Amino acid sequence: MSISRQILYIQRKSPLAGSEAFESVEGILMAGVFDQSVSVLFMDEGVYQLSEMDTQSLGLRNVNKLCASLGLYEINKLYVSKESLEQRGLSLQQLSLQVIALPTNEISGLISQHDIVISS
Amino acid sequence: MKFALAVYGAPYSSQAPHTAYNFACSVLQAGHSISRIFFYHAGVLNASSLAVTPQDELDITEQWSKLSRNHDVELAVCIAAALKRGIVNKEEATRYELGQFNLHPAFELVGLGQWVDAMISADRVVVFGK
Repeated sequence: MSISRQILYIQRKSPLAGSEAFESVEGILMAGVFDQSVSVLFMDEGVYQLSEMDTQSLGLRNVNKLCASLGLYEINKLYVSKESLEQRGLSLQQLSLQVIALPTNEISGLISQHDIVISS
Repeated sequence: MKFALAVYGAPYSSQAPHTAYNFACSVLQAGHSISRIFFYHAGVLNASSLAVTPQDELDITEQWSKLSRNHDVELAVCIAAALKRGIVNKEEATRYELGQFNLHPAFELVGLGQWVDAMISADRVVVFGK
């Protein structure tokens, strides 16, 4: 694969709102398979994708476990919106992966560093 | 310029299909090209040939089909997202021993890799979410 793009995925959906969050992470992993330079920003309800929870009883696949495999695809540039965490009373220590917390005013900078931005 | 588009929303639950369709028409009219339109998440329902649209409404599946025919645009549907939402072609119906299939012939079931491929080889990527 000769073309390499800087792709930023912005994950905004709750892992409990249907299968969209899970399918989005599958899409991110696929970009990893294609050896793209991938970053992921979790914000709004999407921050819960980094929160360990039992989704099986709700008939949903576990997004959090899938997120844990991002590293296997060398997707290690992970960010979370600081405000989104604070609004939900979450701290970095409560998240299942090591991520960098970004204040809102730095998110635009992150977006501008990428060729492609996919938000879902 | 070469565009790659993705549609994440389903007809009647989301405005995304119509917005995406109008955008696609404008892109082509302005002289650009669209390499592939990828239908993901609930957007796979755009590819059902079994939806009957009321006479005074736009039949979005048929519109996609015409667009594809007239401008040689590939309509690609994520196979994993499609199968679990009941969008099936003849081959998959045989494989899973289903009695019916319903994928509109203008659309094709493809792997998720086809979207990444379209995305990285396009000049512009536009996603129409819910």
